[in-house]
Amino acid sequence: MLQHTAEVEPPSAAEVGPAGRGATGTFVTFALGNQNFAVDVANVREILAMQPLTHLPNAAQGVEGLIDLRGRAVPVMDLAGRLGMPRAPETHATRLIVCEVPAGTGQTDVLGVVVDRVSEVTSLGAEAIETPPTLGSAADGSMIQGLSRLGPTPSERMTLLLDLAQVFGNAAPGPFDF
Amino acid sequence: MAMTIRMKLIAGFTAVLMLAGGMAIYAINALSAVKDQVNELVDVSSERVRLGDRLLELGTSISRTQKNVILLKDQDLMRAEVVKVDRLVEEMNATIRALDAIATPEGKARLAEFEERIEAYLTMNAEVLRLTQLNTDSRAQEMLFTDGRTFYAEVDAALRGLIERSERADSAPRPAGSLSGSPRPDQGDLANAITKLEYDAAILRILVNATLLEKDSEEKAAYISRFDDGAADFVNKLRSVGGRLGAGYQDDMRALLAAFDRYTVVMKDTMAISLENGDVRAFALSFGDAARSYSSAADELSAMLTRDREGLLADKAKAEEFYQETRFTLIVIGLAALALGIAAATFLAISVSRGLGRAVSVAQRVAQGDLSTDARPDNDDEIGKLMAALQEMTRNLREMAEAAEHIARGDLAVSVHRRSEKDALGIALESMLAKLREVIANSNTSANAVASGSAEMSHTADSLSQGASQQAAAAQEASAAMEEMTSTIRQSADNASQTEKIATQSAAEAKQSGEAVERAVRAMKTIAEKINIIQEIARQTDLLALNAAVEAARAGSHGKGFAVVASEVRKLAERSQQAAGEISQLSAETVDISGEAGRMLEALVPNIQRTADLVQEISAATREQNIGAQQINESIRELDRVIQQNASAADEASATSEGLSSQADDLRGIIRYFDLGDGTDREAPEVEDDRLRPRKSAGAPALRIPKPTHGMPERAAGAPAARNGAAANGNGFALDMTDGEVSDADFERY
Repeated sequence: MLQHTAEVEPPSAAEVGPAGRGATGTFVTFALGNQNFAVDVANVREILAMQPLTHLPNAAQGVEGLIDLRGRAVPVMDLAGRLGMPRAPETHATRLIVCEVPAGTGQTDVLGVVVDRVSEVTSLGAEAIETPPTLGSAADGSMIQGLSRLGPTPSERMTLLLDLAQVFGNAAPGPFDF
Repeated sequence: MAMTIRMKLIAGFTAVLMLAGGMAIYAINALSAVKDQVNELVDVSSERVRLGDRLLELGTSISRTQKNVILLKDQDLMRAEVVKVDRLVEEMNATIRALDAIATPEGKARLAEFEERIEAYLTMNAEVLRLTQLNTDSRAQEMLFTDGRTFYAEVDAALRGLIERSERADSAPRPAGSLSGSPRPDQGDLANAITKLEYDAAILRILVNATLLEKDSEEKAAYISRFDDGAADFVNKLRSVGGRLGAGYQDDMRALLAAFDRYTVVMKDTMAISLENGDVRAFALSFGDAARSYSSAADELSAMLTRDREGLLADKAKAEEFYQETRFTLIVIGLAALALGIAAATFLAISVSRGLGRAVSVAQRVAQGDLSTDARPDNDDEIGKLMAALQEMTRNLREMAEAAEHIARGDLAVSVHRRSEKDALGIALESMLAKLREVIANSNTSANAVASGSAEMSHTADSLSQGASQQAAAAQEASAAMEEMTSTIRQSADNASQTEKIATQSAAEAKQSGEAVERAVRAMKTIAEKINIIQEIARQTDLLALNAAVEAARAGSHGKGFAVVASEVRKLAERSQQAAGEISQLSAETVDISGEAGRMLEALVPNIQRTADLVQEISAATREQNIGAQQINESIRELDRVIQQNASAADEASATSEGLSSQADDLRGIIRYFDLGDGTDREAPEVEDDRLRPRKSAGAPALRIPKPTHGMPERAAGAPAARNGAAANGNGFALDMTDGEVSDADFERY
C-alpha cells in the first residue's frame, strides 16, 4: 500500500540524498534496546508519538500495520526485526519515525518505523564518522552507512548510521505492493 | 401451893361447862313441852274452828245455789246447779262427821242439834228445787210464742180474708146469683159483725197474756174462766155470721173454725201449765220456811264456833305462861355460869400476867445487854421454871461476854467451849476465835507479800514509764516521717493529675495530626495527577522540538537558527520532564511516607488514650495513698497520746505502789497487836528488813526481788506447842489480865 511520492523536493534530494560511505550531514539518532542508531535527517519526514496501529490481515513479514497520518495511510515497518535487534516494551518514550526512503526508480516511499527512543538531531562531521569494519561473508554490512561514537555517555557507545534505502530496498526491490 | 396453872385452868373450865350443859338440858325439855302445846293448838282447837267455819260456808253455798236455781230459766244450767247442791250436801255431811270426832262433849250436843236443823232445811230445800225445776212460766211462755202466735195468725188471716170479700161484695155491683135477695143494710151489718169478731179474737189473746203475767194462782184461774167464756162466745158468733153468709163463704167459714179450734186448744194447755205456778211457790218456800230453818241451824253452829274460839284463846294463854316460867329459869342459870367463868378467868389472868411480867422484864434487860439481872424463882409453877431458865441463860451469857472481852483486848489465847451442840453463840465464838487466829496469821503473811509485791510493782512501773518515753519519741519520729511521705505522695498525686491532662490533650492532638496527614496525602495525590499533565506537556513539547529540529535540519542552512531554538526548546522540555518525573517520584514517596505516618498516628491515639487512663488510675491510687497516709499519721498521733497516757499511768502506778508499801508496813504494825498465844512478845520491836521496804526512788536501773518467805511464818512455826500446853490446863477461859494496859489511845484509827 505504499504510494509513490510524486513531489520530491529537489533540494533534499540533492543535498541529503543517499550518502555514500564516509558522508557527512545531520542525523536523527534513536535507540532500539541498548543499541543506538542514527539515520540521515533527509530521510526523516517527521517524528510521532506512538499511536495505535491498524493491523493488516495476511501482512508480509516485517510489516506491523498502518497509521493514519493527516488523512494518508502510512505503513509501519518492523525495523528491529529487519535489523535482528531485540525491542524493548512500549513506553512513553517509544516513537514512530516517518521516513522517506528512495525507491530505486527515483521515487520515495513513505513508511514508519517504531523505535524505543529518539535521542536527538545532531550534525556529524566527516571526522566523526568511521567506516564500518568489513565483516566478510559472515554478515551483510550493506545496511550500515557508517558508525560514530555519539553515545550519550562518556563510554562513547557506538552509534550505527543506517542507510534506510539499503535496509528496506534490499529486502524488497521495487515498489511495495501486497 | 401445889396448884399449877394447868390444873387451875382445867377446874375453872369444867365448872363453867357443867353449868352450861345443865342449862342446855333444861332448855331442851322446855322446848319439848312447847312443841306438845303447839301440836294440840294446831291439830285440835284450831281445827275445830276451821271445820265450824267450813260448815257455815257450806250452808251459805247451798242456800246461794238454791237461789241460783230459782233464778235460772235454762233447764241444763238448772240441772248443773242441782248437782252442785248435792255435792255440797255430801261435803257437809263429811265435815260434820270430822268435827264430831274432835268436838268437846258440849260441842257434840250442839253439833247434833245443828245436824237435826239442817236436815229439816235440806228437806225443804229439796222441795224448792223440785218446784223450780217445773219451770212453768218458761214453758207457758214458749208455747205462747210458738204455737199460739202461729195459730192466732191463721185465725186472723182467715178473718181478714172474710172481711175483704164482704167489703168487695158491698162496693161492687152485685153479680147475679150471689147473695141474691139480701138487702143492702144486711150486707153492712155482716161486715161489722166480722170486724167485731176480729176484735174479740184480739181480746182473747190479751187474756192469755194476762194469765201468763199474773203471779197469783186464783187470779190466773179467773182469767182462764174468762178465756173459756170468750172462746165459746166467739164460736157462737162465728157460727151465726157463717149462717148469714152465702154458700160461697162456707169453705172459708169451716177453715176459720178449724183454725180457731186449734188456737183455743193450744191456749188452754198454755194456761193450764201457767196455772201450776211452780216458780212462785218455790220462791215463797225458799224465802219463807226454808230461810227460817237455815237461820236456826246457822245460829246453832255459830254458838258452837264461839265456844271453840274461846277454847283456842285459853290454850294460847297457857302456852304464854309456860314460856315466861322457862325463860326465868334459863336466865338464872346463865347468869350463874357467867359469874363463875369471869371469876375463874380473872384469877388465872392475874396470876399468869404477874409471873410473865417478871420474866418479860428479865428478858428485856438481857436483851438490852444487862447481864447482872437477878432472876430468882419465887414459886415452883411453870413461871418459876421459866425464871430459873432465864437465870441460867444470863449466867452463860455473862461467861461468853467475858471471853469476848478478852478477845477484844487482843488476847487470842483465851479458850471458849460450847455448852451444847446447839449452842450457836458458843460455836460462833469458838469458830470466831479460830478464824481470828487464822486471819491474823494470814494477814501478816499477806502484808509481807504486799510489801514485796509493791516494791516489785514500783520497779516495773519505772521501766514501763521509761519504755513509754522511748515509744513516744519513736512515735513522733514516725509521725514526722509520715508527714514527709504524705507531702511526697501529694506531689505525686499533683504530677499524676497533670500528666493525665497532658496525655488526654496529646491523644486529641494525635488524632488531629492523623487527620492533617490524611489531608496531606490527598493533596499529594492531587499533585501527582497534576504532575502527569505537566509530564505529558513536556513530552509533547519534546516531540515538537524534535520535529522542529528535524524540520530545521531539512531546511539546511536556512534552518540553522531555528535548529538552535528547537534544540533549546528540546532541552527545556527534557528538563521539565525530568523535573516532573522527580516531583512525581517524590510525591509518590511522600504519599507512601504520609500513609505510613497516618497509620502510625492512628496506632498512636489508642496508646496515648491508654496512657491517659493508666495515668488517671495512678492519680486515683495516689489520692487514696494520700488519704491512707493521713490516716496513718492520725493513728500515730493517737498512738502518741496513748503512749503519753501510759507513761503518766506508769508514774501513777509507781506512786501507788509506794503508798501500798507504806500501808503494808502499817498493817503489819496493827497485826502485831494481837497475841496468838504462841509465846512471841506482842510489843517486840519491828523487824527492819530492807528487802521488805519499797524503793522510794524509781531511778535505779535494777531492783532486787524481795523474798516473801521471811519473818512471820518463821515465828509461827515454833509457836503452837507452847500455846496448846497452856490451854490444856482447863476447859474455861484462860484470861490473861497481866498486860491489860492497852488503852484506846494505843490504836490507830483508819
